Amino acid sequence: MQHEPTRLDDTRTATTESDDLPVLVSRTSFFERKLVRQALPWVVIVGMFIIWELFVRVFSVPEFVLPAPSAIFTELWRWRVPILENSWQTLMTTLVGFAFAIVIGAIGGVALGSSRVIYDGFYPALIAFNSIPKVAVIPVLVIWFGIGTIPAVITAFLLSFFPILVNVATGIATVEPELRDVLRALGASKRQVIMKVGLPRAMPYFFASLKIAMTVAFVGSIVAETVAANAGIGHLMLVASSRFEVPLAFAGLIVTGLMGVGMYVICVAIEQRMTGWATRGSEGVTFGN
Amino acid sequence: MPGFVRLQDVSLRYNDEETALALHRTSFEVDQGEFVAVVGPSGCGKSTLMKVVTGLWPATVGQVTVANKPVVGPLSIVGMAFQNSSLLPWRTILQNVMLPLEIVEPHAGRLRRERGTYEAKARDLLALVGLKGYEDKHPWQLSGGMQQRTQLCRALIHEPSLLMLDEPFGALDMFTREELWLALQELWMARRPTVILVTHDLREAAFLADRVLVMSARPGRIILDRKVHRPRPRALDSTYDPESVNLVHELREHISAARANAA
Repeated sequence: MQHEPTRLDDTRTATTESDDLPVLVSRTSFFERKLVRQALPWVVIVGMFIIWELFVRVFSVPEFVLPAPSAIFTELWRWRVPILENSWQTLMTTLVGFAFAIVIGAIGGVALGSSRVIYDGFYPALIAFNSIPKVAVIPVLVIWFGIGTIPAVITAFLLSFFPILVNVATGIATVEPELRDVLRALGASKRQVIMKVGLPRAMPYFFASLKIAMTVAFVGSIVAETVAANAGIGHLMLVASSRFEVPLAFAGLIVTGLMGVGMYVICVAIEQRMTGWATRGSEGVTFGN
Repeated sequence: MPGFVRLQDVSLRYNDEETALALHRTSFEVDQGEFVAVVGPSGCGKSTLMKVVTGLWPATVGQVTVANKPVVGPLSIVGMAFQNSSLLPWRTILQNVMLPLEIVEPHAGRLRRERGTYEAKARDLLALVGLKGYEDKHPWQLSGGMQQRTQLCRALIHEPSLLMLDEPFGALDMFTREELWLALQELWMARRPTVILVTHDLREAAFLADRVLVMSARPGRIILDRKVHRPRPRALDSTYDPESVNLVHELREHISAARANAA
């Protein structure tokens, strides 16, 4: 490389000569360039698969212990129709549970964050409830609703509503007293204070929680599907592993990962549109480190 | 109107502890259209005084009246500006200035129909303090001085008859501060609201106010009520006139004495 773009030394003293300008340009190191930064995650993923493949081949690991990526992708393609159908089922289950979690978490968070009485009264109970392993609840849900979609939806909801609730409550409860006073001094009602300061202020917290809630919603629905369902990726993986079709089970894992990443990306995109003010528009400013 | 703001034997205690007494039997009056500055050693309860007058906190003992009505809760005829920028970061400058219009009647009811008129008003006000062209920026994109100008506009947009300023220029450098004194004087002369300005800058008090109240150390009460007879508009240079310098000295002595008594 002629320009040595990765070098970190900037000890050269600046002179007034104009040919010193390229030094400034080369300050953005190789890894800070936009294209490189965007490509980096893909390089890591592909590299991981290559190492995995090599590992399996070199040590001749049996397929029912750890299938090679090539075998997994072959299975993925062979079973693409059932995999798609079951992924769709899981995605819908997760999204319905997640939607309920958003609505109830947001409403509960507002109630909890804006009222000391509600907070003091309900918070300990909510903590207790959240400490219950949700997997242990699934058998109860099966008794109530039978095997199928509903227990999975409810499990996804139960796992994901708590982070949303706590975050929204925190966002509203920690509104700066000065900001609240600005509105109160104008004679604003409690409702107006929540609408004009509490909610906008809680938005960054809300979106931060969505990213967590989204991933745990998948955990909830898939765990429920492995225990009590006859469709969905969880069910497919259970059936596959019981038949020792380990590559297919791994294919299910990969699809789950893809769905999780996809939903995460959507959450982040909405977040950046809605709460750009919270990051002070710092994107794109790359001075310093 | 004399006695537009009236405090009679007002005390305020934060909780039951003896040390939590922030105000002790404070009494004073402010006439309508008067510009009053309140100065005092730090922690003397100046900010508490502001909160009591605006009804944000109830007085423990005594009575506060504004416009002949006892203060029992926050007043919508008040505009407030604070020391630290209390602008809402998710709103643009224009939206921040228009915030009071969304809350204070009769504007809140009319805002939807007459948005254009109100927006023009907000833009005019911003132009008056030199913020033309910054209407669509967010607060964090502006300097501290600009944020305080925006706060002044927000405090004035609903044409309050009482303007409460809690060290609004405290966090600014001297030059920006002096610039804003002139801006505030101009705004005040144009509209003549009643102003209560809490500050610890004695030059600021001497430059801006018709009357300066000096508070004692905690628990705060008024120990000096001094009229400032100087013609308006006042020029910045006049802060170094002998009359003004003497006033600052006099205020300073009272505050030093108050601090010595407290120690």
